[in-house]
Amino acid sequence: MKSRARHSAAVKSATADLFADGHGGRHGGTHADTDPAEAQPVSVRRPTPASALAPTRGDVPPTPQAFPRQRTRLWYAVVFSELMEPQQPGYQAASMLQRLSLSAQQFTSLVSIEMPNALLLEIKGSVKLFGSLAVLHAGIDAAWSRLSMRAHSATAPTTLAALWLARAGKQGGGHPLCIEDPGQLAGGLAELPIACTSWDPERLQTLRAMGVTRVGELMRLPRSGLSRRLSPAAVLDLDIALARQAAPRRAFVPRERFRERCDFETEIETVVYLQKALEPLTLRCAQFLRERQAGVQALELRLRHRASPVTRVRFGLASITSDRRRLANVLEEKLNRLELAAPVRGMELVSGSLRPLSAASLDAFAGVRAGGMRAGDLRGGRDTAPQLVERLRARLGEEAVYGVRLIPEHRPEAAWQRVQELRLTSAVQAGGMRVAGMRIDDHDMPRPVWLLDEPVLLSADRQQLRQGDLILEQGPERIESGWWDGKDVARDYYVARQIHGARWWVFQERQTKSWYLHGVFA
Amino acid sequence: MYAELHALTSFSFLRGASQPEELVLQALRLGYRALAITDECSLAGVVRAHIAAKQCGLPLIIGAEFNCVDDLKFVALATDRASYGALSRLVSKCRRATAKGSYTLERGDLENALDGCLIIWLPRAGRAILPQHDQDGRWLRERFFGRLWIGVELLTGGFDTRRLGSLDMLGKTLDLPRVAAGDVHMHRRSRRALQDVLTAIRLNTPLSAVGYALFPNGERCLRPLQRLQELYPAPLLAQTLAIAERCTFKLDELRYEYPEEIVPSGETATSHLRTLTERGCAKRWPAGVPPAVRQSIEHELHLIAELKFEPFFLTVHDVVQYARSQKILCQGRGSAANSVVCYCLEITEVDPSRMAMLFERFISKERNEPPDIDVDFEHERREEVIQYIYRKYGRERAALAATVISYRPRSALRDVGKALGLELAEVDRLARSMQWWDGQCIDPQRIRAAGFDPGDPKTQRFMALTTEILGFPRHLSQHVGGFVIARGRLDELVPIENATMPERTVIQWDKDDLDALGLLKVDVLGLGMLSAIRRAFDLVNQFGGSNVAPGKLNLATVPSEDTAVYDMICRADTIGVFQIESRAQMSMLPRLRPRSYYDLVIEVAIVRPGPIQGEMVHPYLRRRNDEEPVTYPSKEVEAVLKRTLGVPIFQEQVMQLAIVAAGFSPGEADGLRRAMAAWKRKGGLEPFQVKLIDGMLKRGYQESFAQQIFNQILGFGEFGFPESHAASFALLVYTSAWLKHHHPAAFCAALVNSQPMGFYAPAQLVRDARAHGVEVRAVAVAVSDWDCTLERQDDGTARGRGPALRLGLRIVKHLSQEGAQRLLAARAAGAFIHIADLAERAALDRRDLEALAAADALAGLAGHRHRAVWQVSGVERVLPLLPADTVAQEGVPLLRAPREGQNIVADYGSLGLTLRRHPLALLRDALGKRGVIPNQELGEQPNGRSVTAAGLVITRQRPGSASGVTFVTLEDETGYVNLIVWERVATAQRAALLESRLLLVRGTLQREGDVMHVIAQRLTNLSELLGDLTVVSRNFH
Repeated sequence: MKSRARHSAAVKSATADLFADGHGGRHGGTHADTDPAEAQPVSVRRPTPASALAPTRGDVPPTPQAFPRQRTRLWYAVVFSELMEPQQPGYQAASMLQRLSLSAQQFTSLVSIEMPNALLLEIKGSVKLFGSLAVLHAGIDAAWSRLSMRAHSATAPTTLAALWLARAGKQGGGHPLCIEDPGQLAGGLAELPIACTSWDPERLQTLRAMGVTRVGELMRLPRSGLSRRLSPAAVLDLDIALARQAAPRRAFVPRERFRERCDFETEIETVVYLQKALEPLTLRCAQFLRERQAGVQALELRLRHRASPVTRVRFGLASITSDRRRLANVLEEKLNRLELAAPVRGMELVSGSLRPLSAASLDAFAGVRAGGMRAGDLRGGRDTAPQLVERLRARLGEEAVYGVRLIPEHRPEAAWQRVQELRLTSAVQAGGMRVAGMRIDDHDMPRPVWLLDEPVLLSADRQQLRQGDLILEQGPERIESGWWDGKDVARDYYVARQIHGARWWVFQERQTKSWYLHGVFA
Repeated sequence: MYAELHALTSFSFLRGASQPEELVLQALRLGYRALAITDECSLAGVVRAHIAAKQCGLPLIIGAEFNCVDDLKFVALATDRASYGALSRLVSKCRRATAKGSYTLERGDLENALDGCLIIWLPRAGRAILPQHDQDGRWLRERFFGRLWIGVELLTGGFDTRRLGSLDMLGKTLDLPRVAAGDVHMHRRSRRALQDVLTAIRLNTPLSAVGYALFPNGERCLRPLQRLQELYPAPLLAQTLAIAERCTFKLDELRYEYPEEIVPSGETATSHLRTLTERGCAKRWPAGVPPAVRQSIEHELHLIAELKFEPFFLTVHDVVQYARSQKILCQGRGSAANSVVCYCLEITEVDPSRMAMLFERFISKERNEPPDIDVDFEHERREEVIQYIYRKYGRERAALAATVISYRPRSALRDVGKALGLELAEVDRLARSMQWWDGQCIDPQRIRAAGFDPGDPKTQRFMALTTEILGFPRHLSQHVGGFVIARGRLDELVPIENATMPERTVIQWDKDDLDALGLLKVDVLGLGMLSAIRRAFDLVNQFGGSNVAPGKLNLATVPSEDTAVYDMICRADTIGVFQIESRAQMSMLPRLRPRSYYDLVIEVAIVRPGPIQGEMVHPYLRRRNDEEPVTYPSKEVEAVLKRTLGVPIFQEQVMQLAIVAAGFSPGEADGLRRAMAAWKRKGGLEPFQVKLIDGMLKRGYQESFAQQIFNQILGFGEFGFPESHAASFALLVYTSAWLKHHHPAAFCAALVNSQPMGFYAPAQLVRDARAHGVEVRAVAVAVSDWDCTLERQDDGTARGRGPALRLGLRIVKHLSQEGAQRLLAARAAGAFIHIADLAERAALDRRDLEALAAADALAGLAGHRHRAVWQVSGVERVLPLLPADTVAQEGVPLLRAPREGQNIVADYGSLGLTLRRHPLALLRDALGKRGVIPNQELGEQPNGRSVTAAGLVITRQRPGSASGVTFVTLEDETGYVNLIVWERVATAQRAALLESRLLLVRGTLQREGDVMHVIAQRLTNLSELLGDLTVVSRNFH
């Protein structure tokens, strides 16, 4: 009975060489005092109510937290096998898990993501609420099938045990899916194939080569020898699964946005009052952002009316910001131009997703200020460049003000691209004069400052053009390119002088022989 | 009026978007007076252009474009043989100076280079002339004055007029003439898309991001004369003709000269060859040369002397002598190799007395083509022979022929897809779904199946470009063994460049190019079976037990025409035997029943795609089995076909038929042979068809016979097999069969030691040896060598029982050879006590130890496999800190001994074979429930019966000739069963066919004499039953 003796030593000191074997757990029977997990000194600590730890929605920010050591817990693990399938890109799986976490929060406030394809839910507190573990377990399972997710789930007193059971459940097999009693852990896990540990394949292969294919066989091996052969981490995993070792986990925190509403006692009919009412919201929004060291690039104001549908006013910012003054200015500009469709009963300010305030965006401001933004003079010199852009956009429309990016391309119309975000530093350095179409190559071909969005047909006949108002001064420059995106061009470009002195950039299409105006030189 | 002097072909890889032939034909069509092929630092495409130009009569100029590291760009054109040599030498120099596929040219390299070449300088000018241009021009003028031009290339970039003016100015300043050129990259403007794609592939960037690296327009094509007249002033165009007239060099002027040093001083090549031949005669016929042989020798020597081919025979003799001195087994084949002279020179071991019929076509005097001798060497030692040739003749005089690697469907899809910016995963999926048997073209069905919409313009562009790029050269690789050796500098004949393999150099032309120019090459090839035969000889010679005198067994002394050996062959008991071990061969053996050496020659040649497609197999079988009378349409035809019972089987016979029955001249017959080899790729057999059929009708043959001969020619196409090669192969067939029959243990050990080679994996070879009564012993660190070895039987009597085969460490997966060598050295110093002792003394790392444990090779030291793995997995980390025996003292935990199934799985995983029961023996009950009949019992089923069979998939084969049929061989514990999977079934059940390790098949039993197949109807993948068992099928096509 040597092994039995050493086994009990293991229970007491947790330093012995042998794990409890498959029978050891069952041997302990149902008495709590012989249960290895209960034998841990920490297990007597009174559990903190789950609600106190749980992240709540709304204004109070939930902070990432570690669970305290060793309380009696019950973990529900679920594995979504389709998230592991090879055609599923990793980032999609991650965002999918986030969404699933959100829906899991209806069962418990403590949800944790286990990449790449699993969730862990602490459900001890919820069991009572649902009557029994069986009901709760089935209830959660039903949630996945409502979402059409193929899921394998299991419940156990430790995170790893629950995960292993759930993973093994995928392969089928006659092991229990719910273990409530920590005393049942060793026995319940013994028959699981070792693959359920998700250890690296090489390590699993070594184990299989030793004839070790089940977790129970793993538990029988000498602890020090195993630690040396696999890794201390693997032994630690076993300890965690068997509740001999705490396993802190990070809870899932839903993605944040600022969202606050205020209702009016009387209906508001003029924009001026709206602006007043908006001030505290703007202030709190800026505060919210500052606390999180974050900024936004978009805001939405929702105005609720009595009968008509909600008016949604969207605001874009030229760069990520948390600056109250900029937020207020944009809102003000936009509201000034707003015609109220109906009296407003209440409103809600919602931020776009939070973005980190990067050093780069801060540098951009510094650059502008140092460069002395001339255009800022429009408003008595108190605007920064982003503010100017935002003001212009608010007045002319979001689409009217854009940045330009040069693209190395032979087709003139494809050689530049509108961008929303303005690269202000380069615009300032170039004195605002760098224009679409300028190529950086040794030929330095002529390109007009003003390129038409669409070429304008001048004449379908070459002769007529010659007799007309145009004199071809330079060219032809033949451009044949762009077949790969379906917009192949084949044109001969010329610089032409128009009779009134203007210099035009014209081309003749090679196929149709028609003439077009494509740009005007300054 | 115009000659294009600057044109790049597809051999400027990933630049030129037209094949050389296309450029030549288009230049002719447009009325160009001449065309220069000027690939970038390369002459790789000139032979093809030369052949096309010669056919259509367009003057062709040979040249090359060069880009100096300091941006100097020019074209050099050869005027005569000497300047061609200088050009070739510069290309070689630039190419040899750097890694394969690129070149480097510095100004210094141009000193004293390119003598006699005309130079067209291409200043990279924008609008203005820079001081740099002036300097470059002066530098060039100092070196090439009188043969230097400024190239004016007007490509409608917008500043043509200004560019023309500034180059005019530059020319006046430097006093240099100017000439028009086109920087041609494609033969027609419509290749613009392909040219863009090539650029994108070259830059490894999707098209949308390539930007200015693309050409702005499609002007770099061969432009119509009228347009050139509009663009260029007349004098610039006229100048092109002046240059073209000075370039009179033609590739036909290249003449091959054999090396000299193979003849000792004081002798002539003729006298030396005679001396060597006589010496060989004395050895081959100690009792005196038979008169008929003497007559042949005189005839052959006379012919050789007349054609001045002595140096060629002497060169081959020299290479073979070297191999013999190094005890490397070799064997010549090819038409000239089957001469008595070659037998005397020991180039071949095929005794002419066994092959009396062959010599009529040994060298064709009329055709004046270089003689054909390939020499096979042991595949693992061929490199020694190659390096000997390099040493003996030097890198300037000897190099390997190139092989042009061209775009095939899979690579084309990948590269074009990437260039078009398609999702990489999508393209990969498509390319992967083009399995190894999809043939040459792209199937729209597959495109759809891979998730592409064939109607989408994007997909259409993708498909059109992929089709267009197919066959385009991608890069040069080395030919398997074709050596070109020259008397003088080889690099003045053809440029030499570096190959990927270190210490290898290749010329820029491939086999067809060499053939076309009549240049000679010696094929130095590697053959796995020669390695195996040599090893088997060594084992037998060392171990004894042979009926040949101890130590004397070699290719020449193997007793000939052994009836027992032929009996074995007729039973198709030929696993491991050279050539006749394949599925198709094995099913032919019981029908053909070879009883003599020449039967083997036919056997080797007949089971080939050519004869099968030409439907010659069945007529031959019927005639051989007296089921059909042997008739000949005429006396002449009888002379040609008598030895194959009136059915043409060999390539030589088809050509001779063309001569005797259709009136071809030998030269025309040779043209027919070349056209046959190429028609699948290029077409072009029609003129021969008309001539052949007309010729035969005129000579009184029936049209049906004529048509049949032509069909046979088509069938031969790429796959025709020459009798001269079959004859040499047949010798190796016989030798390996003889070894298998008389020395199965040695033969099996030799085959396993020569892996990878042949048709079967060690698992089948070992299983077969055991079936033939060989005792096979497991790998064990205490006794195994690196190679498999023979051990005496324990009772020491060994009479009646051959030696046992001990598996070698070489079959242990993941065991390093260095580790194994240290192990052997440590064992020689003393037996191992325990695993730590082994690990320490042999300094084995954990990986080697684990490999040994997994192979169960440590059983003697550690007990069962699981314990061994436990012990070794603890070793490495203990060693540095603790004394070596800590692990030994650690104690072994309670690990269950592996069950039989676990051991079998582990055996397959580590060794690829097991000496325990066959895995299917364990699954027999499970299979029985599914109605599976063991393979052996299938033989008792009647023909046409519906059966269920199952087994490990050991080979899949889809011969190109078999019109879509896949042959699959399944193995169980009782034997093999062969499946025939028709294309329809294969397509419908592709996944099961390709992915199964354990395959269950329902089908119909088909029996024809002793040959039995199952015609598959329903395939089921049962691999799951095998668990982790690793079975690797060998796939052939």
